[in-house]
Amino acid sequence: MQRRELIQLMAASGFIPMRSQAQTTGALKPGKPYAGTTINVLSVVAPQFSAHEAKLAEFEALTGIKVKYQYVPFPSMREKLTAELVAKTDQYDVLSAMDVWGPSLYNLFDPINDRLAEKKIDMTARYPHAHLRAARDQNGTGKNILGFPIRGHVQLMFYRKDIFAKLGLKPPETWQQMIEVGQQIQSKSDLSGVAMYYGKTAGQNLMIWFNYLWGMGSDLLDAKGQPMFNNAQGVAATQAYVDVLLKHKAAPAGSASFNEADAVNSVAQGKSAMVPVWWWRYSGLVDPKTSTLKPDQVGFAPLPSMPGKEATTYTNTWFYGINKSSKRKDATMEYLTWLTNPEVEKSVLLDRKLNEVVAVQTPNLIDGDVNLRFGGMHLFGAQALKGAKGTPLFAQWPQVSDILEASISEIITGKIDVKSALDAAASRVKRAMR
Amino acid sequence: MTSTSIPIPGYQPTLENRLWTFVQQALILLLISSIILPIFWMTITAFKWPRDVYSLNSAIWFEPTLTNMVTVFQHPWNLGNKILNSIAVASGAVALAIPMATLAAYAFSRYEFRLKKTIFLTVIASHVFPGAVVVLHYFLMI
Amino acid sequence: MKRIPAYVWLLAPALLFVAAMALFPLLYSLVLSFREWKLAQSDVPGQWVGLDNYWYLLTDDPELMESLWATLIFVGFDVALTVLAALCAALLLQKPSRMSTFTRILLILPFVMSPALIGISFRFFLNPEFGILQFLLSLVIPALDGRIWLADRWLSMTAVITSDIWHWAPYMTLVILGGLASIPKETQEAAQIDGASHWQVFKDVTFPQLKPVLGIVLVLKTVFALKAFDTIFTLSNGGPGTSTQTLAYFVYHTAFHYYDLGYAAAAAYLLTALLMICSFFYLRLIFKK
Repeated sequence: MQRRELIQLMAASGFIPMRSQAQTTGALKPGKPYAGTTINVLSVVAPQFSAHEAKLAEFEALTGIKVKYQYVPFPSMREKLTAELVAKTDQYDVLSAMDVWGPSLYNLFDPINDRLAEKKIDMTARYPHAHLRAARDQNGTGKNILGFPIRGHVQLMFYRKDIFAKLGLKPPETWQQMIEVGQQIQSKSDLSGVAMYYGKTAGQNLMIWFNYLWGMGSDLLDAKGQPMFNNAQGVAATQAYVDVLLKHKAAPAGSASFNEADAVNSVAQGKSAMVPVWWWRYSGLVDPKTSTLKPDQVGFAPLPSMPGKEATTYTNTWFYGINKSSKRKDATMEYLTWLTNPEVEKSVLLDRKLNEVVAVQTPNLIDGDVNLRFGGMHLFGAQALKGAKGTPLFAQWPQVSDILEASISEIITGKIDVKSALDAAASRVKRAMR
Repeated sequence: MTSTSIPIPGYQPTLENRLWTFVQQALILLLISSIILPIFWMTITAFKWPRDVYSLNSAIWFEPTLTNMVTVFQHPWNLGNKILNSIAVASGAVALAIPMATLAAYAFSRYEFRLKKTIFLTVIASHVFPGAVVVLHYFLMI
Repeated sequence: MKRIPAYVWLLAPALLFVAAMALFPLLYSLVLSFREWKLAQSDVPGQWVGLDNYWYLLTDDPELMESLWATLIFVGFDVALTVLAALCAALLLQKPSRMSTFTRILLILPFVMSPALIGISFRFFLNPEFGILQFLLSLVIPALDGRIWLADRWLSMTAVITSDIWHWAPYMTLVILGGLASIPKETQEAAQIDGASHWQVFKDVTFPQLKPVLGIVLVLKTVFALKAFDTIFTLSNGGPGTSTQTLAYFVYHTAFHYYDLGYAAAAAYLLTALLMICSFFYLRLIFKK
């Protein structure tokens, strides 16, 4: 991307590039007071964290603290955290948790408000609201901060730039346009339109559904905590969501059983032309080891929205918190202070050996160098985050997510209509919330 | 047709019998392939690049690689450690179980005593419970 | 002091081990099923609710009813087809020949593979875009062309049952082969000399003598089918909807996705009750000898 395009994009988005502010960074304690301690980090598998691991030597030189990482793949992470919650061991000092699991795992983390004040770190200046609420207790509204957002995602629409250019198409701005563009691609080439993912796996088929639901004005629960997703707008939203495959056939037939990885693979193998997914999937789409596509074939755009509404996104945030049972909390705070310095995140983003796009900190999202490298992706992200509703946060989320994803995967078989399925799901959710 | 089949008394090499033998051998071949093919598939997948795993065109003609083998022994998968753990667990389990079971089986088969049936039932019953029921407590015990 | 009989010493190690490792946790889970414990709300067991968990389970939980139905279908077809396939394979392989000896060695392979691996592999084979089975089957059976296996209730159940049959039938074949080998050859030869056809020999001579072995295979397989979890989890994840969610999956999912441990313990004991019925038949068969 050229500098001039970048400046135009920034002007359009209303963000002014800034350098990292001194107040948002924390200082490490001088004199290596914790030299010799070893800290254990329990983290989910992600290239971003491997990149952090590569910098640990630097941290050890600064403070004398050794850090060991232990990884757990995403599907098993929740179980692992549950085990830690019940066992209350001090095996790990830093634990990573996903936003939606937070409410069921609050007892695992030690609030860090005092430590933040001591280090003079201003969390609201550093992190977008949508990401910071993941680390707050009381379902995102409480005063206690339980950790540092470390990995946050926004959704983007990835598409085949070359096919679009050849057929003279533009990336869709509304969901309806997405269907039309998809159908055009299907009639003029042998690719499928948009790879959706309706299969039942860890709540993945709900990620795009939420955008439809909110776009139509409905929501998961109403103010009294009762299910409202089966009201008229909710049914219409769900109908529109599944009709991409069922009625308009703008998605490959396999979408009915795809999970997120299958859908991304569909694009990476050149079988589909679009996929609405988390931005971190970008590296998998351009890496020759996992994809048949070249970087200049992969384009991205903000997620489509309902006509007349702003582009928004469903967010997914991970935070690193201090284990309540840890015996090395001060040393752990040192590590987290160093790790969450915006400069560290920026250096990972600019590292040419990686294609890592994940960033959670506002100063980096609107940074000029970062956006030059990634063609403005982060500005899209920052824009979408401004209006993002953020994930629903409440203790019964695991149950509700399970009920809904089963519901969607049933609707997509075509054997049950949307209203009955959602009503059945609503009565199950009511039972779960009691 | 089979060179080392043992002659069965009363076997006439009529057309019907020969056809039957042929069908039987075809079925055995089907059985062999239904066992071998999935295993073969799983094995060659280990030597493919991820982009070839997900593609039907590269199903048989693909560029083989050993990087998967190397990666899985490195951090964070550490397969080497995990294999050692498995060996330890399996050896321990076998070393404990076989002697205990042999002693108990000897007792059950050689002696008569009161409560024999009850005790036998108890020992067998513990094998039959679903893992979920038993493991929940281990999980909580630790 | 009376001399302690020898059998007490022989039994003691096994009994102590079973008591500590199996009985104690089972009793703990039983007690837990009478309490309420939602892990999301507290990290210690909650209050006593008596039979409430069981009451809700049996009268007010549509998901459990669906699980029971799915379990019935899964276990019914799985056991019937596995034993049938194992019996046919055993009959095929009983005549010694180079090919049958080679096959017998192969038979142990599917059994030693981890069920989770089998589930994932079959999921790959049935993937709509690059699955080899998907491709081959739609060539052979045109009706299946374009159908998404894991998005259809019945195809998904078929896939789950097939992967379990693939896992167990070869091993069961070996067991039945053992049973066949213990049938005296003279009885079969006598019938053949008397002019009986292959089918009559099987029906009237072989099968009756095979009944005890078949009985044991049936009951054991039923127990394993009721406990089957790994394959279902990795292959279809209980989906689409909840159509392949068996009782074992239901227990896991209530405990580790819903974090509702008291309720899960109650459901686990329901499953246990079913298993006890099976074991009753199993033990009767063993003790008949």
